[in-house]
Amino acid sequence: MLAQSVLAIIAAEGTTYGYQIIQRLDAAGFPNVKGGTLYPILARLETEGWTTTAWGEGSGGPGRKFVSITDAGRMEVERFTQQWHLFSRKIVDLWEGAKASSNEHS
Amino acid sequence: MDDNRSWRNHLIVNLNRRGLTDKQIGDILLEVQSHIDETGETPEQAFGTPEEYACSRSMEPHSSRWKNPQVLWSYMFTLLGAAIMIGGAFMAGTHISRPLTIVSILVGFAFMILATRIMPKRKGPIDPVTGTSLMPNNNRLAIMLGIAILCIFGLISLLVILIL
Repeated sequence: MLAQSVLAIIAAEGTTYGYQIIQRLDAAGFPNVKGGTLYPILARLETEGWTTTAWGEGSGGPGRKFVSITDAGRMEVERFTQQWHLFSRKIVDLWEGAKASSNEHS
Repeated sequence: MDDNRSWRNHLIVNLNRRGLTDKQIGDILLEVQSHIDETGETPEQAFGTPEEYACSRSMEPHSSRWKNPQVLWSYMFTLLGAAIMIGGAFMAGTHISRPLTIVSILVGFAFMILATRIMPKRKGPIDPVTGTSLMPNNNRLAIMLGIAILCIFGLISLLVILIL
């Protein structure tokens, strides 16, 4: 879930970096995500071919590792978004059915 | 600052132990430094203990140094050489066949020299941006000290045999 959210943020930004991703996650309702959680996810996304990385100038200090989405990454975002919509529709249908059934019996 | 350096050194040791390459280690170190510079956190606050973080990074697929046959042979020759040398030193204490004792110490020494020759050269973790070595100076010192101690041990053993 968190990995998919990270990938979605990278897709939305095009190119971003670790601290910015953490700030976006915080704003989206995933607070307190630490570097120790994020960077292994970023490494996995790159291994899967969904992102690429490059070192560039930072705001001072040793530089910044920028991460960019790839075409495969955009397709992956599309795929799990559709899957998530399907899943949530089924859950809602199930829930509505259960509510209707319990109203009939009461 | 000392705590940060200590954390970093422990991370290098742990990543090394898990067989990550110098390039991977350099990349990880720079990620850590870049992140804590931006957030103002300590490495432990942001990444947990060096052991935990090294464990999480080593789960990624990586080309392990341990899969390199040269590395394996080098370590085997080192162990074999050390065992033969130590055996020779013990034999010196029991006065068993002096020529055999001398030969075993020399053979042990030769194996260890061979091991250093076939071990692939490593510069240690490299900064991916500047290309400079990220190897802590005290690690280099420790390696050199270790090699020097082994050489001195071998020479002392030989001298003891020749004198006695």
